Amino acid sequence: MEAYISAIIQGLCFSSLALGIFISMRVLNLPDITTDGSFTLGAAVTAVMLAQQIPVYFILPAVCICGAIAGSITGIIHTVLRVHVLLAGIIVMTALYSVNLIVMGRTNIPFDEGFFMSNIFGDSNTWITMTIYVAVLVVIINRLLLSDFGIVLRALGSNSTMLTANGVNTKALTIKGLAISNALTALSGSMIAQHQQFADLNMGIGIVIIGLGSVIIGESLFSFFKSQVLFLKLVAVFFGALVFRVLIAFVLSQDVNPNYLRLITATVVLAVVALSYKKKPAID
Amino acid sequence: MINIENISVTYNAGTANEVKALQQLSLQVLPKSFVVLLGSNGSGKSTFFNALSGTAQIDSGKIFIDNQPIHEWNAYKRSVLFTRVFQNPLQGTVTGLSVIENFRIAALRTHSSKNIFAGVSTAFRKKVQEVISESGLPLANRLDTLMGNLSGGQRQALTLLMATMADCKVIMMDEPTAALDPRSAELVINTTQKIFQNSPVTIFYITHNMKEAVSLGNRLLIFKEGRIAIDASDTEKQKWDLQRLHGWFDEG
Repeated sequence: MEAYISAIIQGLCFSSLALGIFISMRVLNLPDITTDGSFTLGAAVTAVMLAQQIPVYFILPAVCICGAIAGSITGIIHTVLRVHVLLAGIIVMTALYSVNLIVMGRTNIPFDEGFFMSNIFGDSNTWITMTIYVAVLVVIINRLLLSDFGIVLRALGSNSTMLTANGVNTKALTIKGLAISNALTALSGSMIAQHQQFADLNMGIGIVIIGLGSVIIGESLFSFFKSQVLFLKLVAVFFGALVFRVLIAFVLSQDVNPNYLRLITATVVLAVVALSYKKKPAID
Repeated sequence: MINIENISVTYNAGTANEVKALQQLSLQVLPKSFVVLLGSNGSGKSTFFNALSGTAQIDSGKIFIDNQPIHEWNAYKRSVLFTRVFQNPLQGTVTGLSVIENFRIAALRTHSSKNIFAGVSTAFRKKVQEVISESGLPLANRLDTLMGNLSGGQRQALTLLMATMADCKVIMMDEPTAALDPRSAELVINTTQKIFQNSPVTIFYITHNMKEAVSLGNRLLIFKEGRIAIDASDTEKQKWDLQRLHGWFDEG
């Protein structure tokens, strides 16, 4: 049971990653894999700032800003230098490995103050803290995507020609979108570091697949609503992150060697993708 | 007043594939004109649109709108003046967004807000509802319907109405009825004519349909090899019959 509770808390921590991937992969329609680097960056910044005893309310904005800078660099490489977004993401992700090592100074930083966010609310109850955190996050992202900026951002992934004809600077918009996506990813890295009480240089490897799996599971859940309401879509992505972690916890509870964790994760994502595609007509 | 002076556009300049898409083209268009552009494929009609909107670089020449030298502006700046309606109904709208959100994008060109959380207001919904009702399209109560759920004709007609939200000066329509069935094409043509009657815009309309070329608009330009071969006024155009137009094309 404890494993499942931990899985749900992890799912809550991963919810902002899922929202970030939702923005890059679904809203912008860009396969950005800066994620692996920006996730660790969020954890690294959190660990270093905690070690410096910097007040809690400075840490989360700093994490978001660092993630946003990483995403912006990918965006600039993609739009200004016209490098394919996948390659741009790989380049930034590779560079971030060294940046993270420079920030951390070593490969692993343990710390005692798990879930420092609890202090903000004056309550050490993880559940309440995380529920409020996720609710605020979903509401803000929903509000943002329904705003003028969000409407244009959502249009970017499906018809950039129309946006250009309407005078929208699509390059700047792409950079902003990737900045938001990676800020959310970095936030997730910070949360996971707090949950496991350490930041590790390799904690971001393959993390993009967790976000993608959460989004796909969320979309499968959303299809049951038969609705186009954006808020429900975001809530579904959040639940996708929870369900994904619980699924992994279930598989691991069947006496599976933990070394197979990434293999299992990849298999679960593949299974979900295959099942979701099975509903659609086959491609010859 | 649109004043175009000797514009030229060359694709793949200096290579074996060099194409002179526009050659020293000059044109003056009075405000609130409805100009129909006719010509065979590759005659320079679409390049003319691209040169006006800034998506094609002109080699030489000048373009003025109300005495403003817009050839010096980039495509983003020019988009405040122009709206394009493409041949493919999917190009002019975002299928994944609702009707009202598509209108919002069009309106943002001239009415953007600095508030990052500003969005579709009740007043804006009411305004869009009025615009659609006035056009006669039966879509005023479907503002929250996804654009992808509408027919191609409805989407083209809405693209035209979206143009009126942005207070643009020129609407450039590139074969807007080519991909539509006759009924949808009629819907688009009726909407175009209503917009022309009710707003102070100038319309450029590319077509390959001879019947449309004769019946629509108050001026007809026939393009040939990047130049305007025939410039017919409304009265001159009325004397043209379809046979004569076909004959002109047969001659090459």
